[in-house]
Amino acid sequence: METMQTIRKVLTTSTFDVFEKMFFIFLELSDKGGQQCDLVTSISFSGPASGEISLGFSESLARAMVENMLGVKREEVTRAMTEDCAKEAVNMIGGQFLRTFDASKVFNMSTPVCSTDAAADQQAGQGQAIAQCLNFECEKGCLRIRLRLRSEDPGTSAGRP
Amino acid sequence: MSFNVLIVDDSFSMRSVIKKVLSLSGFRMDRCFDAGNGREGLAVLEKEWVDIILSDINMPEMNGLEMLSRMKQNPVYQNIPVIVISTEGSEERVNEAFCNGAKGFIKKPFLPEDLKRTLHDVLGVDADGNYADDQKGSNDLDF
Repeated sequence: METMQTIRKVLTTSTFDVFEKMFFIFLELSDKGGQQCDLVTSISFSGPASGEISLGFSESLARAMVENMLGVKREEVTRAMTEDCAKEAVNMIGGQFLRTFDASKVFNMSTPVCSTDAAADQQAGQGQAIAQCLNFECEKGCLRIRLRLRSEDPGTSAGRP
Repeated sequence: MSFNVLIVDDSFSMRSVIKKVLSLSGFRMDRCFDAGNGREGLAVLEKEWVDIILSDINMPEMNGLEMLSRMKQNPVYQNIPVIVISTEGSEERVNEAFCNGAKGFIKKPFLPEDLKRTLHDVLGVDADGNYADDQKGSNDLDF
């Protein structure tokens, strides 16, 4: 239980840090769940523990990230830019989360991919249970983060709500 | 003196941000090349003179550590300073990068000041922004 609280805290601070430093967006934790995600990016990791971190963005938040990071106007934002920024966001959050959680351990991270909500949910049935689900919001839109852990990982109580 | 820079990262957005930070920091940049992975980075080195490389680790096809390892084996490239900019940050990965010849390591996400400070450290710039090479006497001709 204590481990899960630490995971939640580290994942939250990693998300704040990445959004503030790289996208100049100040998120707040939200208790509103079940919001529509227009774009989902995910990254898998393996090592002492293995699983996946996925980020679900509202379209408006994803576009704001591109505008702020690349300094382009709203009408100049393309789908390719949005997906690239979103993938870089999950890459940075995943990396910061894992190294903050335990810098003495080596985790291998996959290349980030974009998918749909349905595809991400389908993967949950393949031995990965949701260990954490965090919702954030700001005036630009909303973000949902899911951490899935492989159920055989010891010490993480994966699958427990 | 100004520097030719090579930025190696599979993210177009990250390459753009790094380039923008370099431009705004007052860093004396001449030409800026970019590559999407280590293999493309080595291809740039074959054709262009590069003074410093900023490279990610986790990239498809050839990662940053493998690129560093290949550079180390080549006498022409082994002295080009490389700063690793990566989400990877475990002690073992950082040590691996330095053992392969990296001169600096910046963890993403980073602040513009982090990049500027590391660049100055690696290139030998003093607190006033003067480069070590600019401080040489007029008799110190460098051919």
